[in-house]
Amino acid sequence: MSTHRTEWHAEDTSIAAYLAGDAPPVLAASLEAHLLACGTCRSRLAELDARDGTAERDRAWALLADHVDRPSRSPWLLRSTVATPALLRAALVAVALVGLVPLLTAATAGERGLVALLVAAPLAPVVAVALAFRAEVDPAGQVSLATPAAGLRLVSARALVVAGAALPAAYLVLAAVDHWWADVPVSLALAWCLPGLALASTVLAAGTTRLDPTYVAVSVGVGWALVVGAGVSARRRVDPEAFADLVAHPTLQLVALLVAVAAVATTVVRRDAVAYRRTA
Amino acid sequence: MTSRPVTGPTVPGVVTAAPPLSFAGVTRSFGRSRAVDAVSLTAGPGVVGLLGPNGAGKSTLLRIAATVLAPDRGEVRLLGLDPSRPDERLEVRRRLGYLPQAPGLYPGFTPFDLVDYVAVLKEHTHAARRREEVRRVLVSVGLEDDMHRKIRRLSGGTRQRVALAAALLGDPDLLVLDEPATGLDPEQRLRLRSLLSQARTVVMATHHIAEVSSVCHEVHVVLGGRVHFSGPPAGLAALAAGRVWEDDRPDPRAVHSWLTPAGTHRHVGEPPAGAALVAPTLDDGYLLLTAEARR
Ligand SMILES: Nc1ncnc2c1ncn2[C@@H]1O[C@H](COP(=O)(O)OP(=O)(O)OP(=O)(O)O)[C@@H](O)[C@H]1O
Ligand SMILES: [Mg+2]
Ligand SMILES: [Zn+2]
Repeated sequence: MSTHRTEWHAEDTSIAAYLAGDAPPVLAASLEAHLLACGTCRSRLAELDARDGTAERDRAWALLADHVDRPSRSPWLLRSTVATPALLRAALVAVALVGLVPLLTAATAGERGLVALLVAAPLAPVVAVALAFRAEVDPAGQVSLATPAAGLRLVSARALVVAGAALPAAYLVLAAVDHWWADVPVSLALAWCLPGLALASTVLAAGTTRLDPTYVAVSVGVGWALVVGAGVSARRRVDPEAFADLVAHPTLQLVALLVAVAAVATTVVRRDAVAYRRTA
Repeated sequence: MTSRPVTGPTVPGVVTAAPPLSFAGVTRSFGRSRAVDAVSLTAGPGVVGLLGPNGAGKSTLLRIAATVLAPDRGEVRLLGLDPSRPDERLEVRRRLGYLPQAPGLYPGFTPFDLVDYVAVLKEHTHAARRREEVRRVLVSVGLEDDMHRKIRRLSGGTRQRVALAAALLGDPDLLVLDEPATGLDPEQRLRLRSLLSQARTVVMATHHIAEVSSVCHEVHVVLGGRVHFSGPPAGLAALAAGRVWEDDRPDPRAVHSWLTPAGTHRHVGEPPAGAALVAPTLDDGYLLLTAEARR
């Protein structure tokens, strides 16, 4: 079968590295050149892929599924979010947004920077939800929209991946700021949750309408900045305590709770509109 | 893992005597402009071609046919099922393959991983059978040598075939393909033709009239969001019967005139008295139809 003259054949370890995608470029290139000419190594590659590569992958998934999914359920939900490097990159951007930007401001602008951090933090889940609606963060792009899996479960799973990365980062930054620069009121860490949830679920609910979730996310973010800005300037103090007073205020917390409950309920009732979208 | 069969189950009692695709008064606007304007058509079984100029509304129609986009108004039936009902839409999606005009595949994946991922979304839960199916569709589009290279290192036409392979997963009853031949070399285009002729129902948008005349059983011409012609390809050519002539000089009265390689001038439009009429082709019919609609 082979038109290849020499008796040299690629070693299994090289083929395995190539399959796993971590062969150095030079090796990968020469291996490919050889594979084009050598039927023996091509079938060895297929064998190795069928035996090791995918078996390895399956075992990993099965392990994850045992932990997170009930054993009877397929791990598709997991795979569709974990297997999305584009989404993970989006998560990193969100982390940078909520974490690093305010951190730098805090370092350079003192108290005012800290307020900026506090204002930005509840927007992390908003970014996550808005991203989750975009076809670009899916590895298969628009293709996935026509599959049985398309719908609220896929969107919320993606949102959780991004939010799951961004929120702990925000808390870490907060702790760092508290430790090195300025006191952060502890009540604030808890007071964040409801506004963040309310803002994010508003964007989620918007996904069941004709509105573009990205625009809604931007509007929600601007609205939040205005509310907080107005509240803080009404107190004539730009410091973390003033902000904490404002955000932890029972009225604001209650309103946030009501908004979150209403938005989540709306989304669940109208979840079919996520699977069969009226926006482009 | 569940033991769902590799291909989705069919709903018992659903008889698919209904046309695979039927639209009644389907309208879809973006802002003020109507991309699809009260379209009614039935299509399939077999290979169905959608022809039309850029911006005519072909992709919008196909996105509605792929359950990716809901219409503003009108009735849609796919494989006899109503996609506005959640359970029926799920059933349609299990039996549907969709190739978007701009698939947007993640370039860091290999074709194998990408198609495998789509197979997961398509409920191919049995791992071993899924891999077999992924391999089958990749081989069917001629990607046996490229399936383990990163997509970013593949050429444009090769990427197009990755998305095509994903659409072929599970041997769908309804294939919705938006310009599948774009970027394919002549050999791959021939391979595509034979793939299409094996499928049950294919609805595809194309700019290649040669594609239509060689594989399509029926053709619909879309202009400005409306369907201006529906019928067999021969019927589209027949629109130009008696309105194509040849001459040894240009004719300003013709709708279209061009110099053929044979050195004669070919004209489409209202022929002058005594013109040397020739047999019309599909191109002639299409050109006349679009020119008349523009007027
Ligand atoms: N997401 C969108 N937002 C706004 N307008 C859109 C959107 N999608 C399509 N349109 C508009 O709808 C009309 C029809 O577009 P469509 O993509 O369906 O055309 P097409 O026939 O597929 O064209 P082409 O041959 O260039 O692919 C165009 O005027 C286009 O600008
Ligand atoms: Mg198009
Ligand atoms: Zn060899």
